[in-house]
Amino acid sequence: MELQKLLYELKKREEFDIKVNAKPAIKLPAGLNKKLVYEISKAKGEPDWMTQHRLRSFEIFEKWHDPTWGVDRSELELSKIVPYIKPDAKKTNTWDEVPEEIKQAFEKLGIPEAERKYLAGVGAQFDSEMVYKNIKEELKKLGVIFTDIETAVREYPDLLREYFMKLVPPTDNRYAALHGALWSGGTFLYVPKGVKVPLPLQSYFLFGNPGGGQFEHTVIIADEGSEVTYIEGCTAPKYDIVNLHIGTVEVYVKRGARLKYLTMQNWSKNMFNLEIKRAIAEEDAVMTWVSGSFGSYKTMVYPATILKGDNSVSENVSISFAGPGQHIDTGSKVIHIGRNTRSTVDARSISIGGGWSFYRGLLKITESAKGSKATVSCTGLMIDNKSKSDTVPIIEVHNSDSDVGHEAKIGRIKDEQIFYLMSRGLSELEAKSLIVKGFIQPVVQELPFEYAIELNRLVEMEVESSIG
Amino acid sequence: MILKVENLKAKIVGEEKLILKGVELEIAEGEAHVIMGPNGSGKSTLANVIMGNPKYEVVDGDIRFLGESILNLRTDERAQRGIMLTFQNPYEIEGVKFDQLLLTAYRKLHGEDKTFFQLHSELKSIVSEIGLPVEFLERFVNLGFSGGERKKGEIVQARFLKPKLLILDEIDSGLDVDALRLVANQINEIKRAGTSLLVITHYSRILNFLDVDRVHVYIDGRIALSGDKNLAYKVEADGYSIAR
Amino acid sequence: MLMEKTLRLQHGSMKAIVPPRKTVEIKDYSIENFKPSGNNLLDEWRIKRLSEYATLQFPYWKRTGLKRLLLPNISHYKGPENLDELGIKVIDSLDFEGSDRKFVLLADIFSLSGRYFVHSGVKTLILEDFDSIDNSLVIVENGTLNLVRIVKRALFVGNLRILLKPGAELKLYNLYIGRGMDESSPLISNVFVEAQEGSKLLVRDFYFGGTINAGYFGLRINGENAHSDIRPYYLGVGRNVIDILYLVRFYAGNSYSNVDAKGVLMDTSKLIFRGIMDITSGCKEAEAHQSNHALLLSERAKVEAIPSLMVDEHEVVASHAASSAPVDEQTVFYLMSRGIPKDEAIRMIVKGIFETLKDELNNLDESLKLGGLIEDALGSVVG
Repeated sequence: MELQKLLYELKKREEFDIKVNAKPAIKLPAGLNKKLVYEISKAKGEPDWMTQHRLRSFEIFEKWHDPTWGVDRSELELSKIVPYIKPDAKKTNTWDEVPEEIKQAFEKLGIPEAERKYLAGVGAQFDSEMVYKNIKEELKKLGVIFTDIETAVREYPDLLREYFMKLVPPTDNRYAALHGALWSGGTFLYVPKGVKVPLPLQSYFLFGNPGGGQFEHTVIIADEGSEVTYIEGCTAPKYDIVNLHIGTVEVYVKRGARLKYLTMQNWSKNMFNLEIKRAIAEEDAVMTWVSGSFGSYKTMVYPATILKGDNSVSENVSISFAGPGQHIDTGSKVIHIGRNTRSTVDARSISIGGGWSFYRGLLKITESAKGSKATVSCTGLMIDNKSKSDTVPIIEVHNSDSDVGHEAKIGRIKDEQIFYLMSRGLSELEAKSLIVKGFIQPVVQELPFEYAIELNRLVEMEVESSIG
Repeated sequence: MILKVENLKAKIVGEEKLILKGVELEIAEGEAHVIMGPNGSGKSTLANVIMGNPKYEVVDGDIRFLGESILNLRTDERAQRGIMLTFQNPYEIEGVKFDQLLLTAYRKLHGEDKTFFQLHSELKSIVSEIGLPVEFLERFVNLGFSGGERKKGEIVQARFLKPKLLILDEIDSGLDVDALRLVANQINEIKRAGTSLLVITHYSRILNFLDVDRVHVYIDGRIALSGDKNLAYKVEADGYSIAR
Repeated sequence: MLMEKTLRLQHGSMKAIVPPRKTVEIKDYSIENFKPSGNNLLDEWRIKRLSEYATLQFPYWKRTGLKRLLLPNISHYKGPENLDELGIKVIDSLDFEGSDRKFVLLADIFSLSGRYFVHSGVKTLILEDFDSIDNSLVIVENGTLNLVRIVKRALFVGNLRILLKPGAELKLYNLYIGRGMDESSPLISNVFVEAQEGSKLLVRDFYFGGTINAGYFGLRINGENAHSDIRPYYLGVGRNVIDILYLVRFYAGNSYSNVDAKGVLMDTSKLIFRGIMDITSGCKEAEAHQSNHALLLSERAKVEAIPSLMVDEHEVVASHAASSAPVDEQTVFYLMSRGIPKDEAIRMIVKGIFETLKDELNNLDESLKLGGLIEDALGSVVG
């Protein structure tokens, strides 16, 4: 029994702590300057408008001061980050052509298998570039575009230009500007009017090189009346030096469309994760964010929805996990502009082994958003008294015709609960992880089956490594 | 005729689906009518529409009270004409005392003739007759009341305010047998004093204690069947399918 | 004892970035305005504070819109001149950041009214004699003190520090009913309380009528089995801005605290409510609840709420809730179904919100009928 458990342990570690020995084709030196930005653009063979966009973004970056809030970023030395690592692989739509080392890494994550079983399309990014992108033929025929951003720059320049960094402009904040200068890789997804994509589309991002910065950019447009679920998975093996992730996601949900964005992130514990995620919903549109944030050293992520159109809806379900040494600053942002707009936020966090969960949210009901309804619920689970769980939501209501409710509570695992489960034969550890799994259930049930299992396993591992 | 409902069709504001699909109902002065129906059939909606709840919108038909249409009247005007509804789930109003609400309401309905002390002593005797402590009058309306206290509180209001037509919306739900008997006796008392009744219920058990003139079986937005008290027992024995 | 900061943005070796303090240029006092009190202990303390005061500019408050301030002339000093050695020790230990450090120091140094006393026994004390800058210290040694402060000043910068000794009981009513002239005459009230073992605290604040009201209430729970029940009420009319912050910090377990704010906003008034329940590590079985419920009676009224929980201990109960809504249509329907017209029904609901406060004030002293102050305030706006 013990041996079996040990073997199971080892297998799990192996699966989630992937070592990759893939040599990059191009690795631009560390350090940030205009010349480097120019070289990235050149290496990608970009048109002039994109080169100009990068250079302009870099100028803004140089002028912007660092945000005066959030996690301590004094250990983040931007000059030491390698901003662009091009894997030694051509982009392909068949796994056979993906280099063996990289393929193995994705194989361990179960991506090719999942694609066969339940995905409508898959993209796989290694370091700064997509190495694999494939989509089912039927969807291609319906006009669904699912490709990497570099391809979109070449093949759909007009469509992309209309949306690229329009929702998150480089002027938004210092990190958006940096992203605008250094972005590489990411997904472009366009779902035409009325098309309902039956299966989820997925992109998986894997970091293979130490000291790298990942700046993938994702643009999703769900045109009028369309429906789609998109899954973003991220992982990075452990290296000794600081890695940086500033991905940016822009989602446009047009009239009557429904978009569900699932994120499952499992970063290595040396990662600064400073992501920007923003969606805009037109009339009658429904935007759903489902996020699971694991790993990272310090995180600042606040998925945002702007409810611009009348009767649009935003749902936001998230779970974040702060283990030993981790400072996880997350939250949600919802801005109601249209009439009769609705939003719900269900944010859950777990603090364990000295970790620090900080919920920071903004709910804003503007004067024009008459008849709107919003509820925010924050729940923190504290496993011990070495950890910290903070909740600081900002609720701004600027019209009287709206109904806004907020509630939060901090909970613990009660001794009686553990005793009860132990009396049924579970170990203390098993009891705790069972209770934690119950706590994250609302997120789990939003996920496709395979992801639900992965999330449950991640939680088990995190709880065990934090307590054990 | 105290109440005449003609081909009444109504829906929730902002929605499409009809909940009342052409209700016909006549109640003569001094009579007690019972409406029985399965859960979700729209019985409570009928009560709320008669009272003018802004949540609902009348699409067609008419409601006549003492011969006059009340469709264009506000809720308080309907109450002032003599209609009262006891709520299935009465609302909590923090800071408003029970007696304060009742004295204000009484004067709206019956004028300023009686003095504070007259009204208050009348109120006290009703409250003790119903088996509630006198301190009940000092409490905030429905705040922290138990289920039984809420129902009894509604009955206190009905007895004190003396409406011409009293609509009781599921007054019997959540009451034990003793409380049920007490509430039913109070309702009989109200009827004897001249008030007409419309009792809306899911169960026939309250009928064991009530003087009833007519029973209506209400299904899917309409009155499907009418009869005397025996109809209620038949429904209880055979289920609502007898009316389908 | 260190100064009590409003936010502890630190956890072990981790820290969060503290947003910088924004400032505005306002004509400040100079060293000439420092008038001796005749009490050497006190003046020594004041001079220490002055050296910190001189390094700070006035704050710019974005949400409140405080940009201007007309400081009163200082011709003399008046305040807790009778501070003894014990008093100095206590006033020094009750040091908080406050709504802003600048204002806390200002009232400490330049007060024009104030008092210091040690209470024991049972007493009801009603204070109205506030000048525009006030600095007071109260030590509740034992027994029960009922303290009612009625602040009618348009411009008010005041500190009240209270030490609640083991087993002592305090009922504190702060009725801020000054009619502010304009934005340059704000009400800035800082109240700091330390509650020791087994003490009992009841706080009722009432904010009404000032153009800018900045109320700060900080409670340090420093002993087990301390109980506190804190209820801020607000009634915003016209262009009133009511910016209130309630901080409860637990340094001891087995203690209970709730902060329940509620009120009504009319016209273009605005409420900013910040509540912070902060439980430090080791405070086992602490219980902290917080809520804010705002009723908006005008389309242009605004609410901004930041209800925070900061918890470093897992064996606790901590919750908060907040809501803002127009008058509930179904509650109005219920009252109307009893024959009460709509506007009267709404008036009833509004008055109901302040009913408990009114009753408590009336019960405090039968002869004074202090609830009348609340009734007058309500009467002047809802009739």
